Amino acid sequence: MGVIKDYGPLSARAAVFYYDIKDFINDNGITAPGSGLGSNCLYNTDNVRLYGGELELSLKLGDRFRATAAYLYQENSVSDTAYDTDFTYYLPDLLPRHKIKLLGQYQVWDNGWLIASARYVGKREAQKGETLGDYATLDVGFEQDMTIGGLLYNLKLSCNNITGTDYQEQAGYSMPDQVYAIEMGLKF
Amino acid sequence: MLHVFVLRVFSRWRLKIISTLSGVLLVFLWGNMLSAETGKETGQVYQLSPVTVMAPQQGVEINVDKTIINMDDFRKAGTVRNLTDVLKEIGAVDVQRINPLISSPGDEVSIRGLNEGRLVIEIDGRRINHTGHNGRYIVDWSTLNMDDIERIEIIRGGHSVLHPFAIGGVINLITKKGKKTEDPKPDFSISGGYGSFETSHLRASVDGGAGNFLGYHLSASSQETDGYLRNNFQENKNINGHFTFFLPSDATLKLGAKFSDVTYGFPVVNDPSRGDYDPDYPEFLGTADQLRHLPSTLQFPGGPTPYWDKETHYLDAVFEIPLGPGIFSVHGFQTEGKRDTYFYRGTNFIESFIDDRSRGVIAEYRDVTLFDRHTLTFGAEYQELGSPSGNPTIYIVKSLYFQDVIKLGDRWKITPGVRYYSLDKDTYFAWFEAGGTSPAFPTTGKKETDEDWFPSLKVDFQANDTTALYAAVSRSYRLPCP
Repeated sequence: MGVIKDYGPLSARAAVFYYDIKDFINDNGITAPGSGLGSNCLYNTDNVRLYGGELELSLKLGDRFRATAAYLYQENSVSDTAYDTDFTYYLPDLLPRHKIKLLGQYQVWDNGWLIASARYVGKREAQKGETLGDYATLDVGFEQDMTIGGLLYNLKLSCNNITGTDYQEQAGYSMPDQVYAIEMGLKF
Repeated sequence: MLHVFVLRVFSRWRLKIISTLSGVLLVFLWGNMLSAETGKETGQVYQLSPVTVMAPQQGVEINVDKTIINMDDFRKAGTVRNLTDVLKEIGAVDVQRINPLISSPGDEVSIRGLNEGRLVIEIDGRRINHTGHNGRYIVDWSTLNMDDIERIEIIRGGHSVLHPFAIGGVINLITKKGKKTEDPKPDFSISGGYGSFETSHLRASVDGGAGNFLGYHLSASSQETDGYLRNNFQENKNINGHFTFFLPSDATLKLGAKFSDVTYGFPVVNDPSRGDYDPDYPEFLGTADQLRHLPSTLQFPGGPTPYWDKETHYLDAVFEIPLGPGIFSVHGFQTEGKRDTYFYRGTNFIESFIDDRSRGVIAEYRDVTLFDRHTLTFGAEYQELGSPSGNPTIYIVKSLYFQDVIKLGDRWKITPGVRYYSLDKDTYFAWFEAGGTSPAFPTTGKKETDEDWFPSLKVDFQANDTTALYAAVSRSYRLPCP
């Protein structure tokens, strides 16, 4: 259930959810240590409950500035089973309980936008029992549309993870520091 | 010690979405009923939802039914090439990648704690998910380029009976199909980019129409990267074509094809304690998480290159015609993926070929308006899912659905629906079902049929012109898969 509310320059969406899932098929997916063979372990968990809330806030100031904040809280509870030993895991546990996304766009001049996007991801489990720490990243970009000789050009410059955060979205897969990109487009 | 417990119950999968926090909604409802009364006194005109729309980002709208992302207007810091590039920026959607350079086959997308095994991913309203049998292969995000996508619709939760097997939600990609016009001049678009780790892309598209009879969209692109992790290179090639034929009686015939060829290098172990360690790449150990539908994380450098080459195509044909008070449509579809995989299994380097295919047909009579109060949808769907080179019909799904959108005054909208599934499954016995005395791999040959009705109810309340509330409860079902 949820609500969307418009306060003029500020609008909001809030929602809560609850799932009660019977016979949740759990996916082990972990390979046997040393052999590389799949353990092929699938089994039903009697009951899995998922619940949480979503909140999004959007702010628009004038014609030039727009910002959004999105918060997600999610939790789960799982009934015990005799099968979840050693290398088993539950997919919902691999997701953060808390997550925040922030996005801002500012039109600096005609058809030119500065864009920033930040994410905070809370700690979560890894498949093999490890806990991954929380992290925050910041992406920035600039985009310009231009009309030259009747042709519409578009230029994008961006840098992801500009702060050089050391982080992993999936356990064991290190992500790079700053990632730069340039893109040019043409429409006619 | 590894315990191989194979219990493949494949029993009925049920879901109840229960409104436990109803107190919160009641507070909202009560407060907004009061404000609605105030609105009435001032003579304010209300329109039935969705009138309260949230626009959190440029190109993004949220109403009580769904989040809509219009791709021509969507902006983000960075390149938008694949679906996960977009979803990463959307609130309450979890995207877990293994690199930020190109959407990878092992990426995970989740809504409300449920990933692609419990989400429905659609192209033009039809499900593209595979069985999940061959290596938990259900949806490969690397094959879903945005070249031909007009908009993305995201439904959170499983309350819509119009989408089969929706539990966590629905992600529906609506393709560009050209336009009805007499002007034969097409619109061209070309773009290219370059970035860190030798990441680059080229893209070209043309949209147009002719003679008020034909609309078309054609696009092609390539994308490649050296990757950040060792051997984690990737090369994507995509071709898309969509044609719309505008026929007499306002009928249309839409034909669409998406094709992708993805060559993907599996990250190899880069362990400082090993003699083959390369300090130019980050450390990568075999203890990393096992990615969905990819080989073991124990892939090695120096010898033959572990990678896969995969071709995927999505085919659609939709015929629509206004009929009486509604619109009748028939939608035939097919998704097929073929993977040649070269990888280490233990110390042996092997090659394997796997294919998956999902195909079916949907007949629907929708937007049937009765008495200015009811908007009805009737539908029937048939799907076959399997592996053409093995068992092409692991699952046969027969489904019927019905939905009524009922307007009650200017503010209330009630949407009851129900979906019936009959599912024939080829499955296999757990080791103890087969009479084994210890854990062992299962034996094949088990067949089961599930069938049941799954109702849904959603209530929308447009309290005033700035506030919309909704609540939904449903019982859902999905194909049994990882």
